[in-house]
Amino acid sequence: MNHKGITRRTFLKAAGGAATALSASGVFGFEEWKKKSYASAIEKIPTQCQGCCANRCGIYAYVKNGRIWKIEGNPKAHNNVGSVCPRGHGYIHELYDPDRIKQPLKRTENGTFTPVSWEQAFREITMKLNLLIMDHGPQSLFWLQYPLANAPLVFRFMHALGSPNTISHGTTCFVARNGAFKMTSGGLPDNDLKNSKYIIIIGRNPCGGIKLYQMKDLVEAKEKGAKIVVVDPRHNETAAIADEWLSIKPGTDLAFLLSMLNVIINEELYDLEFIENYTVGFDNLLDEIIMYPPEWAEKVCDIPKEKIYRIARELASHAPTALIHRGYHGAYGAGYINSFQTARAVAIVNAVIGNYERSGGLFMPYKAKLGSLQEGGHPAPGIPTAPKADGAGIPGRYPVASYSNGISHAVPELALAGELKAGFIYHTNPVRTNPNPKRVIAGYKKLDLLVTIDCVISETAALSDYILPESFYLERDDSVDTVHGGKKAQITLVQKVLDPMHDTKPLFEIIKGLSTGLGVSRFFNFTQDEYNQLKLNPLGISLTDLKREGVIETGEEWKEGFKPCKTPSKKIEIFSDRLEAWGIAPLPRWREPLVSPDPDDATSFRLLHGKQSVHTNAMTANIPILMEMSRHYNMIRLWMNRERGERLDLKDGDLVIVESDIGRGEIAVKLTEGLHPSAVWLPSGYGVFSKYLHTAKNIGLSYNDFVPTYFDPIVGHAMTSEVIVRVKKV
Amino acid sequence: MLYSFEVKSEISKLLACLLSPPDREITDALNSNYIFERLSDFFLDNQVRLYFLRDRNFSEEELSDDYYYSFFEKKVSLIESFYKPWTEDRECRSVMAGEKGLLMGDHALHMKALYEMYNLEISFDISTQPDHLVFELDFLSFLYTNYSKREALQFITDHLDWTSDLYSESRKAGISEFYGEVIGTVDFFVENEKAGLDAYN
Repeated sequence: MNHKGITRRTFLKAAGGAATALSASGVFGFEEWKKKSYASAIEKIPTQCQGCCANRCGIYAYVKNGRIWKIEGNPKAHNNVGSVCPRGHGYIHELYDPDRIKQPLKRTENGTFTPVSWEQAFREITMKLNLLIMDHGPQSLFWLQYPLANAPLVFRFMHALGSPNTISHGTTCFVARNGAFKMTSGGLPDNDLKNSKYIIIIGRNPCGGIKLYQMKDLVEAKEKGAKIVVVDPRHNETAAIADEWLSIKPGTDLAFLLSMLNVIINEELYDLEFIENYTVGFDNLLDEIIMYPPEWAEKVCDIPKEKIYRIARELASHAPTALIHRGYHGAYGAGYINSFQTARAVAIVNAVIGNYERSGGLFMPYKAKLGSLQEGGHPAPGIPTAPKADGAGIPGRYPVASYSNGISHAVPELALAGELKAGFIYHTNPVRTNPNPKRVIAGYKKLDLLVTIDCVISETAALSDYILPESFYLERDDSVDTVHGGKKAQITLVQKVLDPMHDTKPLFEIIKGLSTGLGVSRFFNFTQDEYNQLKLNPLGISLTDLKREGVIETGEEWKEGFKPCKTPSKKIEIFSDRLEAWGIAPLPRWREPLVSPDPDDATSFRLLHGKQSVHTNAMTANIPILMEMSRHYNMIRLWMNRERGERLDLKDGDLVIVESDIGRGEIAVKLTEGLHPSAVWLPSGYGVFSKYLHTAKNIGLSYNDFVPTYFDPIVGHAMTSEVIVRVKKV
Repeated sequence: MLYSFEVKSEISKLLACLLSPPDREITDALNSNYIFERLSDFFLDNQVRLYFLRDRNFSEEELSDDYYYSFFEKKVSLIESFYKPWTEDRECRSVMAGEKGLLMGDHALHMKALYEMYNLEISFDISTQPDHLVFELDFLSFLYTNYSKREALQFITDHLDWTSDLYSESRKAGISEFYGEVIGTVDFFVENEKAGLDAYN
């Protein structure tokens, strides 16, 4: 179109063909169109929720007129058994959120972002990476991710480049627990809650940090008469359905467990046959455990000795249909200097009552063994010979840390030290999920190149040189997934149910795009569908069937009976030779938390944190409906023991200043009897400060703002409950 | 004064141009006062203030910064769905039903249907949103050129009834003066057209 002075692009161009007679079509007017459109059929497509947490629930997506209409749980999926949590329902908002990234972005000199094409982004990123690899070697690159079903593709990509530094968020979440179970029983067992008659849950809250199948199983167990005991400084959502809540002093769960062992052993309540056949090192335990009678423990953990005796006896009397829940983040995932040994003690109590691989006890969940790309003629790149920069899995550094998880919060330190020069951040936000954000920001800013792959501009994305927008999970195909293993292995996958709204790509296409410019495209000369079918081949499952069903069970059903552990002895290692060889206590041994509140200072508290059922980490705070629920139910508050609060002249709802050695913030206080007096508790998921996240920005606080940078010496976890704050009325 | 549909079409197109990502051609047209003159001819008697278009030395870089600041940094949305309930379909049980502030609402779907009916394709240079104001102004221009006042009035009633919300939003957000004025001009144009077409009807 020519405007004399302006010959402009055509915003709408003719597509060819003749226009339909609109009056005849009956859709020109909006109201007429609505009548026709609203009568359209709804399509139901199975896929997997993959937005905001580790559960990756099997769902059905209902699609009408090319839009998501609703989601509901797939009843066949083990992890959610037909339900969807508030986060899952809320998260579909993000699909239509104007805050989503709509095309690749490049940082400009003045710190803003400018849209660029995918071609330009790939060209410039790979050019810079090639130069960095030439100058500093591939070990100077890292990839930090929230591990999803595509994780093997990421390892393949990084290995093709020669970098061992693929890292998950794990050291801020669960690695102490996972490391402890790996050292003890060779892997992480699941809890057979619904068949259990006696359930102790220590510092885990499946009704807050939601695990849908566990919530259902707990309710079912309770209906069948099981007793549920929650051991937690806070009266959490799970405690609300428990028979008993023990408000333990934070950081002393290990003392509680050691004294339970003391009772079980002294009173010979253990399962001797199981111990003799399936464990090693029980005799060593006898000598150690004598130091920890309930009379000692009650002074350490604030639980009366009578209760410890009773609980230990009750647990053992119900064995083997009794268990201590395997836990997650709360008490011993990544919280304290003693978390690794606490988790070891959980594994050992379960072992001495003989509940492994027993109905109502713990069992190793079945996972399908997927096929490999090699079988399809696609050789794997070699494992890089360079050690992981973070020291994960290296004796003398962090021997129990795993290769696949690494140490996420070491990345900024390694960047500041000049060891890491460039990296990718995928589906995670370390500036908000790592402790000590100022230090984290300084580290990430030191990198020569930072590329974030995300759907929104998080705090970390905002620091990046390039942001590559991943298609929303409903807009993409991902890799086949084995996360739904339980008593029978299941295969699931994320499949595309809608066309992408914006100029975004699935991760697989992003990796392919990068691999071309980096000279490793030969490792990605297949399609996502071909990859998935190769993975499914050994199982005799076709990709077409999986896409139709969403969830397919495979392999044999779990049966009672001990299976050899993936430990050197093939048994449960109560005493660990490997730990001893690494100079680590080979049996759980009491250790005080690293820091403790000052008993002479009325303002001094340990800062605890935990999830609420409507939020996950920092991923969901920007979802309007979820944030509205937080506001409506007045959830964004600092919990404090009522008596302690009143001594500080506080009333419920008062604004307080929270201050640690590294951070300061203001928040309203919630006074409650439901919290141990030595602690305050902050819900996680708030404290977003990215200016690009308009719903969540500057609401609430993040516990990470107060936590210093620590590395547990065994697993390298962040010890995020080793923080003392001072709380004062504003 | 009654203007021909050809003139209205041109004005609608020019306003679409002003709300698209700025480039050299736009800045040249501004610097030569071409856009000012065309709009001045149309908006008689100082009905709208057009001084912001006149006798200034516009640079592409500056305008791009303003554009980024207004519609990216300040996030003032130029998309119709943002200002309207996502759907009014009672069958929808999703938490999005009835909510404002989202993309790809009913109005976006209707725009897609309209483009399909007219065999039009949207350019992907600006946004993939079919109800972006730039596309809607261009579509109005298309209607003025090719169809009758009835279609134009119907379209304005159905799809351009949110420009005053956009104007309020832009003032509240404190976007750049230039784009704030452009939006004010668009709002005036739309309101004026609606009133004029109604009267003409």
